[in-house]
Amino acid sequence: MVNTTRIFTKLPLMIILAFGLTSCGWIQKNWGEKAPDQKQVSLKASALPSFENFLKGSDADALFVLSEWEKMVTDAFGFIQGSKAGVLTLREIDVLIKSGLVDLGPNSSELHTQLKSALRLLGFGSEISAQDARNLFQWVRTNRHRIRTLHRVAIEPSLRGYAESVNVSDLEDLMLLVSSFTERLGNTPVPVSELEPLLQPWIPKDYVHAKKALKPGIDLVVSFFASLCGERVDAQAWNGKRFGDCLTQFVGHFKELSPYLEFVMGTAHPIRDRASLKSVQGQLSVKMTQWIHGHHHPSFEIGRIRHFSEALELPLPPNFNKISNWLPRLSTKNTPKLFHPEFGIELSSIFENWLSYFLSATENQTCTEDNWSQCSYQGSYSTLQAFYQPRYAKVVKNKTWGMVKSVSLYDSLGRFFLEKLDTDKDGFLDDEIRDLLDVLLKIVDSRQYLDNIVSRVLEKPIDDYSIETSIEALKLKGLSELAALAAEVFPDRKLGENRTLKKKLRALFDPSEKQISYSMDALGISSVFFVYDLISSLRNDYLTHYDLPQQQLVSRKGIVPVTQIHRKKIVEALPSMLYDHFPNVFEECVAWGFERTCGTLFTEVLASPIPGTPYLEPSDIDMISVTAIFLEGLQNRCDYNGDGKFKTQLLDGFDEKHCVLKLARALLLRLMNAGIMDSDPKIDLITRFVANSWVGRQLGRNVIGTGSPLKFFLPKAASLGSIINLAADLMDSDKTEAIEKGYIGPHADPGDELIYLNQMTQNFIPAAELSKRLGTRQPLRSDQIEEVVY
Amino acid sequence: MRLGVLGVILFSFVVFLKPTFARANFNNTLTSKAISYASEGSPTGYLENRTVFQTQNFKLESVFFFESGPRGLWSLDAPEIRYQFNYGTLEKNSIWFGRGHPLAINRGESISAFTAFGSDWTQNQVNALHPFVDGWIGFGVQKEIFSGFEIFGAYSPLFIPTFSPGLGINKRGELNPSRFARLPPTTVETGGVLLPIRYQIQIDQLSELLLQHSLFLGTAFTHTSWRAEAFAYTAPRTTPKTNTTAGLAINEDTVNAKVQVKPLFPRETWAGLSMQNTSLPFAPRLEFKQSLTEGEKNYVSLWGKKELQKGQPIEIGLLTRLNQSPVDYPDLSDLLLMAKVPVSFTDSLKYSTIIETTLQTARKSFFWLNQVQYTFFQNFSAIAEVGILGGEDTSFFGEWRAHDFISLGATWAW
Repeated sequence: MVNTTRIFTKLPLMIILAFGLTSCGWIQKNWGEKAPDQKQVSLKASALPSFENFLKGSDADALFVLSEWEKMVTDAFGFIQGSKAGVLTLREIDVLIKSGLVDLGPNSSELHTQLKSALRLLGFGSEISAQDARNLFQWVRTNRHRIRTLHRVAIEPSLRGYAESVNVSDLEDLMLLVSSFTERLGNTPVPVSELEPLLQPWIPKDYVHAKKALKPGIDLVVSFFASLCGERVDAQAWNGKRFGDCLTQFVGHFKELSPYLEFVMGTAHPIRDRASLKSVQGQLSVKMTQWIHGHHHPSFEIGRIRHFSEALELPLPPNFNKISNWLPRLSTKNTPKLFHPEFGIELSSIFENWLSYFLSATENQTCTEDNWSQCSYQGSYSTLQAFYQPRYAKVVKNKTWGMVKSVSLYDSLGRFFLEKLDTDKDGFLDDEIRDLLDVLLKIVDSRQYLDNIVSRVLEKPIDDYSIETSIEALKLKGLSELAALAAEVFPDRKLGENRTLKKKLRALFDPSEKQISYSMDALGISSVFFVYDLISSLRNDYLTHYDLPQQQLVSRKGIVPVTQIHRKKIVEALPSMLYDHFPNVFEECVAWGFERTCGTLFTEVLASPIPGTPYLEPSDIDMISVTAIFLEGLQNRCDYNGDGKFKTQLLDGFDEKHCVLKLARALLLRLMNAGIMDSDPKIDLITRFVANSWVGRQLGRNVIGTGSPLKFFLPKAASLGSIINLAADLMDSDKTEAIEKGYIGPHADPGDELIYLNQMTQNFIPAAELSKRLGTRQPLRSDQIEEVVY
Repeated sequence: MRLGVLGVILFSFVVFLKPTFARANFNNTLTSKAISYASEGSPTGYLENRTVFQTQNFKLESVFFFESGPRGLWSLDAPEIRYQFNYGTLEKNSIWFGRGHPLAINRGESISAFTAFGSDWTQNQVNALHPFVDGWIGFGVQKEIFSGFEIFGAYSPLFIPTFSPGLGINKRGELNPSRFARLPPTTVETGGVLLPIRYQIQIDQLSELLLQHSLFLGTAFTHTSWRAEAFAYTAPRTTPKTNTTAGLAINEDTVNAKVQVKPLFPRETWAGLSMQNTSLPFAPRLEFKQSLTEGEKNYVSLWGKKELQKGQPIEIGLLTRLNQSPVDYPDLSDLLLMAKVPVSFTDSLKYSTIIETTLQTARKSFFWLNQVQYTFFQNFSAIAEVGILGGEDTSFFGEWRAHDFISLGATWAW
């Protein structure tokens, strides 16, 4: 039997020996082995739904997103323990951000600063509590519909236009949202001087201009709201609660006038909403007076706009400085530098009259969207109505009540300025009306300025002011000349019907006119706007529907590329333009020889191309419209009996030819004043001769009848064609001579060569009823065309 | 709490033990060592004192140890301190009070921490490499019903939770743990940011923690070389479950993950069986213990020892659970194999080696301790030790694998 005790006694020795022999390397390997890494746990942040769903999803989506975010934020106050329970100080938020626990993305330092300034602006001081956060979420929940509306109004219009997406209730919601939010901001005033550093972090560093203009921008906004709210807000400091209170009061005060706003924004229907529109008639100035009187509204400093523009490096609307000159003239309360809030009461009369005129114009049941020329305007626009006949309404403008609204507004503006500026109460404004109209048209076009502010802030190219471009095309003075022309040509003041025989006989011997003036009555003022409206519409129509290839050329740095059109293409399209929009002119020119008449006249008024290029800018086409409008207006204005001829009445100094001479002379002089035509002493002498002497007037009558300055001895009835023929001769006799003799004459500008050798007649005059451009759009129905009566 | 235990010891000593001093046995062993850990630059000093004071009715066993250095610690414990008196004629029929383990009292030998019955009873693990089983504080009774068949029980009105090596949590919640502390996660990663964790221990009313009762009922049957045991007991869990709440704490300019830990000691009920045959080599004992409150929790062990030379038994053992899970935390029962083999080369020169290894997949680890003792003169010996620890990152011994050590010291017994 084996002695187990002995075996076990030897066993340890054997084990030790075995270990001793084999374990040296093993021990070396394990000795002082590195300790395991410290234990670490991972926490995964729960994924939050995108906040975009709050704005774009359904209401249920919005509530879900809000509840998830609220849970995350309020839970964080329990999860994160700072020095005080349920409160996080700015310093603690700093630590969280610097540690990377609050990930603000790649621009963390920027966002960090933004967060701090936001807390200050939100009135939280140096700390925010869980209750603050809950209150904020509760506010968002309560106002979620308004916030979503704001998003829709602010973002979506970029896709489909503000006008289609915004209504009055949206604006009201927006105002209430802003006031509700600002009321939450606490009653702690932040001095205006401290606002800039608080807001500066919110402007991305790439927005250089916005950063630079922030300070004057704040001054501008604070000054504006101080003027708007008066003592309701503090002019020297930002106080969110008082600002919010003011907005709330403002909305409440003017709430019952919302039909006004509906009307201005074009969402009111003159028939359906007539009762509500009538109910607020005359209320605007009353409300304005109640809002302003007794609340110590300070004046608004116009200079703040200039400072803001300068900081943005954004050009002010042309002749903006003239506003300073006009402010005291429009209201004694204004000074050249200050816009008095009570002037706002006076301005409100424009809107009041606008609505009144609109309601009055649409009172007549024959006034409809389709037949807006039958509306009862403040003045007679028979000449213009010839242009805005149904055919134009279809081609140039959509058939909307907008046309009636526009005329009503122009009438209201005309009346306002006449009331304010006609100091001698003779019903006419003096020569300075040119400047005023310049300013007004710029204000009308101020949307361009506002758009440019947004573009500049976003560091996008700004657009040139279209008005300015127009002025350049009209050689700087053209606009006022156009204004004067419009005032002379378009309003039908029924002068011919009311004159006595004595006056008519006396007119045969008296100088027909003194120097042309710029006097203008209310109707004239309206007409200016009217014509401006018309040429803008025509220009858009040409660019959209005619074969005018456009190319984008980069001009000055920071300015959007300029659209340019080859001048030759414009000349090629000229017959179609006239055919479609100015049929009287077209037909007369065809009868008298298109190249000899319209070809010469319009290539002369059409500007020369940009130096070194064959291109023109779109606004250059306006001169074609202006000239054609004038000629058509001449026909409508002076052809008293509508027979298409201008005849002489032996016993009437105010006969049709007198009318033509008067307006033709005005045209010539204004075109020369505008620099469109070269000043020619001979023409000036002739026009003076015709204007100031009986013989001259008789010879002039003959000349416009024959259409040739050399055939002054043949008494003949004049027509539009003979007048254009004469004008062409006066403008460039070398061209007309070459056309008549059949060789290629002067053609300094591209396209001018087309007026020779019958090229336009053979190639570009519409052969059928429809012009070329109609091939690219829905042709007019025959019944529509038949409605045209000339 | 430790002072409380010391108070109990002193009180017992004064009241119950004074009359028995005359016939007392007193053994004391004082050990002093210098230990050099591979993980640390400088050696630490170690002092240990074991005292056994025993009379006919009273037994006191106390252990004190102290280790110097910034990661050192000390402990004073009395695994057994009890007064026992017999009633009736049979030797087994007795009643005891004080501190003792009812099963150990019945067996007449200590319970190994490497067995099923002892592994989760180890109330004091401060000396992490040498765990031992403590008793309950209360009273117990045992009675022989008939020859070889005994019943025994114990009741404790007091509960003493585990004293593990300290985590060293300071007031700021920072960890400065003991060398063999089982470290909780020390960092948290969230969103790519690594944050240190700061712990805060929340303990409810201390009296509510301590005044929890425990009850043990057992029976044993001995027949020739066989012994069978069966028992059931209910007691608060000795090693706590933790209820944690976490958050972020911002201090000055740093952010920490702050974990508030609330240790919970839920009540557990266990039932166990054991069978031993003393006629087989190493007198193997098979033990199985099953939790009645957590169905999947159990322990099974096979353990035996054989004394080849007096006072130097060879011990071998296997400890495991029947349903090991890879997600369990490291435990001594991760398929533990252990062997303790003492060898006497001469009367003066002795050697012993202890191998403990866990073989559970993904939690493999080992501890190998070699000790050489040379006795210069009676009761005074020099001791040299080499201890090597190793294993996987998350394993019972592997977490301490940087703490390999050598030591040199002396023992004085009297």
